[in-house]
Amino acid sequence: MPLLLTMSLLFAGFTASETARLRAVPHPSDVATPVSVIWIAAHPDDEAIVAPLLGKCAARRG
Amino acid sequence: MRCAFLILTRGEGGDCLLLNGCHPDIASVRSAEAGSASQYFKAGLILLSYPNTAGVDKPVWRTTSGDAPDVVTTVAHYIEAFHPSLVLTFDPRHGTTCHPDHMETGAIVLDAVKLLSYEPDVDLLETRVTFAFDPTVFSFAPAVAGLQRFDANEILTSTQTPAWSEITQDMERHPSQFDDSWLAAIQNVPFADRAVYLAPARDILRQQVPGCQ
Repeated sequence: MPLLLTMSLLFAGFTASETARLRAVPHPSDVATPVSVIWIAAHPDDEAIVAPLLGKCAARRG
Repeated sequence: MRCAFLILTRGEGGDCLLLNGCHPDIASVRSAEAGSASQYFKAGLILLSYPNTAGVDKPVWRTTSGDAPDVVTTVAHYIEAFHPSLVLTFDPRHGTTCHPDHMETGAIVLDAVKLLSYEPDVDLLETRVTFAFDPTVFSFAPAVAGLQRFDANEILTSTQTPAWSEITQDMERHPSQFDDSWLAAIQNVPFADRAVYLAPARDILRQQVPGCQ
């Protein structure tokens, strides 16, 4: 969360616990891209559910 | 991002939707489809041959025979060999679809990472997917509130298409499992629901997450 927004929440009268809870929720699409990932599943085709993330496999851009 | 798939079964428990049948057998066809999908994503593929259950009973993959390593050790060895920074698998409490194979896979992976020589990040898939048929309809939802959310409407730089379309691309590489009705159902998912939800295992396992009945 941007520092200015965090500060504004603090000064808006949020309790410490409320602020912590808000900071724990990442912004949409704030899923960090790892260096390498192994998807471990039970069946061929299970990866369909995570396919939007797998589109980030860097080798595809090579 | 360097990627690999570790798939514990060859999927012989699935139906065959190919008009001419699955020859020589469904396991062979689905193994080839796994190869095609991994090639699409430029991911490495490790395809094992534990038995695929019918989706009702818990699989018995932990039973060992002879001097073969148990499944937890086997999975740990493959993770160690690929040495990923992130291990991604199902939450054993719901397995996304409540399929017992998914749930057991998640449990095995959580045991396997305890055997590693290093500590990769471990994320659990917290997307819940339900199906309805006639017509086929998918529902995608987060398992609980407050999860990491990847917005699948995002345009991928690699393809210049929405990330959601990667699902269709993947399903088209599994024609024995997905026909046009499945592909249409994916396209009919509301834009607001097009997301993948993840959570670090160390955090989400401390929370109550609705399981399966």
